[in-house]
Amino acid sequence: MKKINAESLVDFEIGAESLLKVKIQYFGSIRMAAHKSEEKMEIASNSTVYQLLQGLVDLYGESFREEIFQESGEGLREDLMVTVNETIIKHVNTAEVNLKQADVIALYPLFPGGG
Amino acid sequence: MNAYTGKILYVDLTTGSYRTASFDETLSKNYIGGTGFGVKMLIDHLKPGIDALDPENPLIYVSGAVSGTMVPCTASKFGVFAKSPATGFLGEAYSTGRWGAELRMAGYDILVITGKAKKPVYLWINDNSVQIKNAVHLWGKTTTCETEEAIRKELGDQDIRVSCIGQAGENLCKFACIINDHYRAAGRTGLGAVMGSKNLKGVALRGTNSVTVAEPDELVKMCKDLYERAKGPATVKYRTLGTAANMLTMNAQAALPTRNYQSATFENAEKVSGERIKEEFVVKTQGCSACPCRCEHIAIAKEGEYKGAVARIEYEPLMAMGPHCGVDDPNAIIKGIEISNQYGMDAISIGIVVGFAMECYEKGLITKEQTGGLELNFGDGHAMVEFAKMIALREGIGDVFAEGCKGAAKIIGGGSEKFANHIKGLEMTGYDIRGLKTAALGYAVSRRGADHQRHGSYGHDLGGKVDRYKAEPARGKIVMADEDLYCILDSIIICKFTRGIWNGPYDDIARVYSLVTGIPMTGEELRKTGERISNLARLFNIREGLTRKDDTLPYRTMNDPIPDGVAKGSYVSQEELDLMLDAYYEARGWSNRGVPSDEKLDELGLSDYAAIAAQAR
Repeated sequence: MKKINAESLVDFEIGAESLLKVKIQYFGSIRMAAHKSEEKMEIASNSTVYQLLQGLVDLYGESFREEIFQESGEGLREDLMVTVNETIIKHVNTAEVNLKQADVIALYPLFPGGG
Repeated sequence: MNAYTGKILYVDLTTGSYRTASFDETLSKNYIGGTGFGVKMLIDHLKPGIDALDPENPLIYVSGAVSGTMVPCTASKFGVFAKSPATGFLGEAYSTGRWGAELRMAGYDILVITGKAKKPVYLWINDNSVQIKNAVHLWGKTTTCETEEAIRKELGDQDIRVSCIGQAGENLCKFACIINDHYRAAGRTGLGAVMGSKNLKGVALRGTNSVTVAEPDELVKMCKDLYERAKGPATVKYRTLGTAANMLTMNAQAALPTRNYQSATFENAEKVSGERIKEEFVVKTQGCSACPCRCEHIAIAKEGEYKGAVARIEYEPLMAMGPHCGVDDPNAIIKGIEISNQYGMDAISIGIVVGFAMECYEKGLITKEQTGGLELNFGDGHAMVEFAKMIALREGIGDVFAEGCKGAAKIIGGGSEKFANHIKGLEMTGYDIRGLKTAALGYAVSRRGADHQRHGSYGHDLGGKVDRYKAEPARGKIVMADEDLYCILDSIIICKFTRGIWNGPYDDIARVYSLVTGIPMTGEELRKTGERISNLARLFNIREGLTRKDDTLPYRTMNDPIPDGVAKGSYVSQEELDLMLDAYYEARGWSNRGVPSDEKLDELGLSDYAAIAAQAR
């Protein structure tokens, strides 16, 4: 497991005793941007989903950011599905959803049809 | 008018005659094009109550409001309308490629075809020249090479655009479609059968006229911006992976129709995932006229008995012929999609119908003798492909399943109607809506039957904007807003892959509309126009006999809970559906029987049609 860049997660106190071990799964075009299908990470114990996503953007750069956040930079893309332990969480609450030990976070791009 | 030609071409195949008519800015402003024109023309031209395969059912082609211009991701689209043989209600389907722009460059915004030729013919429109040509030699032929290319060769012009049917349309298969530009289809509601019922093999077009726009300098500026947006983050995923990437998403959320909706997860989803198809089977991507998205993923089967088969890959047909039939071999699925294109069948419906037949077979309602020796079991890719051919050609018991799920269940009986998954006669699409309650409402009220593309409401459930498992009154306004917006997207006609590039979105769309046509339009006026079109479509369906009881869901959706995955136990009860229906009707200003009020019709400028509503009350 690797530790996410502490500087990317603002105001986090990262210490060995306070780390959470979580798994992150990437799907579709997000997988292409992260160049992997899943990974395990250690993050600060008070991390929210929103903070985790910001940290991942810092790790994986612009193409990953474009998959997650709206072009304005604020808020998550409407066609992004985020689940924690297979349950869809509401975008508006990602900053309030605290992660727990062994959580599995999955990021799916939605591909609405054209027809 | 700019952009609009202002001309309608009427062709009567019974008499072999044609005429043109003009329309003015009133129609353009109030109905835009695409859906608006199609619904308006159909309600005004269809003799109420006639059979969908009656020669007098008009087959109506319409261009989008900005067809033939430089506006990206819109310029090539067109719509086809008629009374649907599948539902008996509004039949509508949209396609892209290059045919739509060619119609306008040939000088027409609307083409209305009525009557029935004595023998097979095709229509050849070359600017002002309109000819009805012999197609006896093309009858019984497949679409792409045997018809489309043959017509080009026969007429000696490789730039001719052809929209045509295959054997399924000739054989009046209830879900036959109309194919153009090799891989594109006006797919849903069985409009290929309407074409076939007229002994019409296809419509060939060549247009050399210019399409003028009102404010070219400003339009160029805006289009440059739109092109950049269309190449950017909002659409890049369609170019890189395409909609097939939905496979794993739906599977993870127990929303993936599997084995005729007996399950909502597929154990071999990875084998047919968009990721795998892209990596191992897609050989190139290509795009439509005036579109930078390049979203068409062309795949080739690489091994086995179907090696060399070619198909355009999208999630819906991949789902329908893959997990829905229990098939995990991409080679067979590619062949199945190729069969759909070549024989001219809705690539969604054929997969849903074959999956339905597989359950009938496994339950002993049809036999091996009836299937011509095929072991029609879930998971058998060979059986899936071969049975699809039998349906297109109406061979053996394929003749029964060519009637669609609803029609076939009536003939087969034995309780099969309880697992015939359709709404209003149109087969279900790639979302198991038992655990997607907003989408469930959208599907129930969709004017063309089971459909995710008249509202897109699954996005609210899967995007996490609402609790996907909860039925509540607020969903009524959500679905209404989605439907009215989609009416405008389908009237302009804007490819929904690019829905994310339009700011507002009504404001951006209104601005483009005004720059192109010179007709003043605000975002709010456009929103109101979407509502007008929704209501007119409702009136059309009411006139054809639709009532509240038709706004419903398949038996399995309402009675058999999802057996597996994160949505296990989910279904839509009658109480939940009624709750959402009441809210939806109220939001629309309709009675609790789903009939628009006189006040609403007055507000929308539809009082000319008030008698239809009055009769239904």
